[in-house]
Amino acid sequence: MELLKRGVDEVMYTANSDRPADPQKVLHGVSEEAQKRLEQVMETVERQKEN
Amino acid sequence: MFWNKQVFREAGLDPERPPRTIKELDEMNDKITKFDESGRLIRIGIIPWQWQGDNSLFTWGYAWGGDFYELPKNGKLVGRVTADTPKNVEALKWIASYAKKYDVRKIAAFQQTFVGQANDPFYMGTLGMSLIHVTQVRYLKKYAPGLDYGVTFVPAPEGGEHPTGWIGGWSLAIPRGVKAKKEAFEFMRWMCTADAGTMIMGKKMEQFPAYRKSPYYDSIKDDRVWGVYYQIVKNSKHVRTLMPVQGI
Repeated sequence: MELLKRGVDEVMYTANSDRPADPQKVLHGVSEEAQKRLEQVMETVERQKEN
Repeated sequence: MFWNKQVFREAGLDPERPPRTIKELDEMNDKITKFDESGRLIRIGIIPWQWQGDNSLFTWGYAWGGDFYELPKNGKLVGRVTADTPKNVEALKWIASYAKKYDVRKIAAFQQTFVGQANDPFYMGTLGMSLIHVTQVRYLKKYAPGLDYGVTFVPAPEGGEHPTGWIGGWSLAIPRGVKAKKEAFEFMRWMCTADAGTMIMGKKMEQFPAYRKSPYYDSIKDDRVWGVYYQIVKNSKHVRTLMPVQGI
């Protein structure tokens, strides 16, 4: 949720600037990063189970 | 979503008719929103990001028909994060349209003038519509007992999800290693499933029990305020993105 919050803030606070953030790109970045961290954490959990 | 009927009257809107669609919401917002001679924002219809960016995108993303996480399939442990689904993107574009049109800096300055629960802009008549969490209703009743307001579901775009809503929550947990483990579990069982425990959760704590059979729901389902929350609990398809490591 922290990633999502930062993403929404980025879009909102650049909305009336010269370089507004692209909502699609921002949310895509949020999805990719969250997915990566999610998989890392689950891998760690699995390793701990095996040990 | 609560709307201030007096603000609607002042803006020339029907005080008994809240917006049902995003198009109507945008039109009403235009009529309610006012700037003073120096360009300072002095009243606005709604602030789409009123409850932090992430919770706001959950609310509007679901209203657009989006979702945020696809549960794991075929025995896999990890599902797929779908924050960038096209409907969520459309919802975020709409949020950004308010930041651009009304100037996010002016809205931020406007929000900073209201400090403390008693000075909520919705109570003061400078915010026409407000998304109010179930635990905040007590403050509205305490600090604005005479306020003329209505309660309804969040509007949605054409083709979106209406009525819409989502549920979050808090949990009780027993820390590993505690001595009174059995007693702690018994307390949790009582708090979460007993008639008396769930009634206390609803009536005293003003939080909805997760136990649908609780008699609390019979006691509030026809109330004009709590009844709307009841309908959300009863019909909502969404729980705020339940996935491992939700905090990221």
